[in-house]
Amino acid sequence: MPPRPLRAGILLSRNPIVTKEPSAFVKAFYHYQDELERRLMWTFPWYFYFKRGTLSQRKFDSLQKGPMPRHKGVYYPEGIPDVKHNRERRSKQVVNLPSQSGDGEGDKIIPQSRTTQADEKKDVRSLERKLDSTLYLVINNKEWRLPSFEVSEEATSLHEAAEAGLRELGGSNINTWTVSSTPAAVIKGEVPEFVIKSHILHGQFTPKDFDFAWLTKEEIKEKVKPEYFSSVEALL
Amino acid sequence: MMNWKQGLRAFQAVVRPHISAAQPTLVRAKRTTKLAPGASRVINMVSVISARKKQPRRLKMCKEDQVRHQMIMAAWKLHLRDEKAERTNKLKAQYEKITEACDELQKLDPALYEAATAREKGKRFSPEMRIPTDTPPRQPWQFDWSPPDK
Amino acid sequence: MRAFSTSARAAGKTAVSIVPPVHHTVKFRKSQLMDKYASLQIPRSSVTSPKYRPQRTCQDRVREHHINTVESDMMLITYAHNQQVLVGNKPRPRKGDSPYQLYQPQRVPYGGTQATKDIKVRSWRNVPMLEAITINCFVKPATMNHDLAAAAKVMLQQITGEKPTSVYARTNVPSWTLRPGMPMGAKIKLTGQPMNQFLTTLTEIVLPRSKTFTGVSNSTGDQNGNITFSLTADDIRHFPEIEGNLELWPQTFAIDLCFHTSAQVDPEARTLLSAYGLPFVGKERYPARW
Repeated sequence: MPPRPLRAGILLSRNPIVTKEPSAFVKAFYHYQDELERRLMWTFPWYFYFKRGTLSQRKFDSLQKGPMPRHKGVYYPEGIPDVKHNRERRSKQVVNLPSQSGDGEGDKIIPQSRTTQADEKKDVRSLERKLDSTLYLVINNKEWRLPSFEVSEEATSLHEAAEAGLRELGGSNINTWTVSSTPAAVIKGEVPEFVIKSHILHGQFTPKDFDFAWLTKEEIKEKVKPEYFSSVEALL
Repeated sequence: MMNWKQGLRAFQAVVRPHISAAQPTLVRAKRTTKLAPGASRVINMVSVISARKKQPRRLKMCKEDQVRHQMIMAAWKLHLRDEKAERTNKLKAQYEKITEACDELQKLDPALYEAATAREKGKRFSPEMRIPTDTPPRQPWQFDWSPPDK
Repeated sequence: MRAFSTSARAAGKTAVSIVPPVHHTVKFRKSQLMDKYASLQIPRSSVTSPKYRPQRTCQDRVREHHINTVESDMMLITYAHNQQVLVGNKPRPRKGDSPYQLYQPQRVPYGGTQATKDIKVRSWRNVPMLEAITINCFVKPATMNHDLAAAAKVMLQQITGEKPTSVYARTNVPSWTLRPGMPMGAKIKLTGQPMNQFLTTLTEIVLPRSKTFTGVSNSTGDQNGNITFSLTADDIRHFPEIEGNLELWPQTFAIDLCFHTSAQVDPEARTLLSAYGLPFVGKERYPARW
């Protein structure tokens, strides 16, 4: 059967795994708002969580730095204390919580690093690079571009043709989720190419014959031809 | 001597005057007897969400701080405006791309167009898609995946 | 003939004009003008207001996910080519040829008594998004024991971190010992950051560990894009705030959740909610106009 006069492209993306690193301004703003919120918070009702007269209450009490008490005839250079429920009402309350397992070493959570080995090696073929941004699959078939496939006469829909073509190209050990059967864009040329959007969930893309890369929008801009980039820029 | 029921009623008079307004058991003096465990538990619980004795001093900024605050919020508003504009422009561009693609497909291949623009019934996002977290999991990506046997 | 609100009564007319231009629609009490209440007139978004609370205090990962991924995906999924506005069933106006019809209600729409909304053209301006989550906790045995309503209120505060409002009985049913004004539970409407925090706690911690929850029924929905389901009292125990001190909670209460989305039809609302990890089960029915 002869192929149809159009091609099915696929925009395969790996969604961010970690949140974006906020800019210095945004960080400072969040810090300011957080401090304001802490200042305006009600007093921590410790008696609800630590029952009076129990060991846990004593543990909690021993960790708290009590406020400055108010005495008559004393001069307070930083203003007269206003203490209620063992809290200085003029400032934010600092609550030190006892750790779950005694010394506080056992329950410490050490988070994983936001940069991975793939970032250090600058391995553009790894899906573990740049965890905080969306990566898109581009292949080098004569020139760098999104993967695209012929649509045979038997094919009933574009998205099935694109998904099948992807597996033919890069092996079947790839778990993807097609966003929609509607094409997200058309790349005009000799043979128009309809782009189907899809997300990779597990597995990897392992083609035999040619080079491929998982790149961010900025990296794609450097790699592909300018006229090609302008036709797909809106999608990225 | 006050039993726990009386104590609870006294507490209710303070906390929920609409319930026991008719019962003249409001105790104004300092309580000398101990409350029963049940009543004290309820009082403990309700006092978590009551503002009594727990509110901090009202925030009173000096004139300079108010100006600073206004400046920060104005800058934040500008940031949000830029962010929103970028978002909207991107969505608009994508929308126009979809329209263009559908128009083109309709001209080229009506059968594929019908399949592509039919309403997708029961469409669900994949449950394996995750909301990004602040730090990555131990294994950021599962490389060795194979399709389940049918 | 027009009259002012103060003079109309004397003239034997209604106090407020209901024919445009309508005056005196904003009512106020004289006490509101007193100096001691001046601070209440300040909008709560201003830092000088005693009600001021900062809105954005940390990075919001659900919002980021929505902007990065869900938004453009939803636009593509809900896209319909060459759309027209699908006009809903509307009440029919009277002809107006008789003066008696001036204050008569409009006739009910064809084919039913309920008016339905128009379905507008979907574009980049109205991509469905989650707007709010309402949590309602109604405790039936609170008629016998008023403390249960207070406990339900504290429970909602614990799992959401926001202050709930009480709900009161409105009807009088002597056989249930129910009288108007009895506190019967609590409710809360979450938006913004607290909503997103609650949503992730629900989908990542609570629902996966629930023994009874299999998914949200595909048949719920109010035809305006609001999806409702409930959690049992046992499910509530999986919230970390409750689980952390279970000895304080000899009794927990079932809650009803309503997810308010800006989707125009229910199937789109379900698609949207599935992006945040809510599973759906059962047979789905689709609206006639979609």
